[in-house]
Amino acid sequence: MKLYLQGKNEIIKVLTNSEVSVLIIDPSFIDLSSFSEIQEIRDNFPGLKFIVLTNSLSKNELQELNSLGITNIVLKSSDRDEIFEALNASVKGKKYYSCELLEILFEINERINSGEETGQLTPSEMEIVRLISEGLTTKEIASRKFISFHTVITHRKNIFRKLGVSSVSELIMYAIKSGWINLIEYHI
Amino acid sequence: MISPLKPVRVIIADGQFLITESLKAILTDEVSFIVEAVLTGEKRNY
Repeated sequence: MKLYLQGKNEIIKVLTNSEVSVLIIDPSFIDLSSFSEIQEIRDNFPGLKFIVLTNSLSKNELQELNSLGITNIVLKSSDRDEIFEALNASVKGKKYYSCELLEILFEINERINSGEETGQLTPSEMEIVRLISEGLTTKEIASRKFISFHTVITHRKNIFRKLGVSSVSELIMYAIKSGWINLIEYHI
Repeated sequence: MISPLKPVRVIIADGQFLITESLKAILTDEVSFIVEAVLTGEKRNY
């Protein structure tokens, strides 16, 4: 058995030269700012089962992984039985999540079922995201859009709730990852 | 536990040495799994 230099290309090299069925991976292993590299590995090896092993995951990251079809996710704090349950599930094509992650998933589902479509912003909210990313304050946004200060506050609260973010920096990261604002246009 | 005809081949890719070692130990105890490679971010030979 050999250990390889880290990176997506090394993973692909090993996968190409072996008959591997399951990849157990910590996403931070390939220095991900998004999960696009996992998607690339998936595209190259469609039959490969993924188990994501992680210290923690935010609501957005969990949703992003689910949208990529990665539904076997285990926390590193899991015990041996959980690891095997995740492995068994992945081999059988079933889903497996650690208990803590299931709680987050239930919360997401409740919000979707209650009509709050997570991540779906109105055009006005999208415009406010853009203005926030330009560094405008709530007062400046109100002035720019000819709306009241309190209306902007309400929009901000709705945006934060829908996207599951809790700070402006998290919002901006979400917007960059989602392609709503261009990283090059965003200057700190 | 899985008991397929062919063992399931697994790659472990994680930068935390303790995690990869523990996983490898757990999986190599089971005949139904073969750890094909462990990727830890450093190049070494076992």
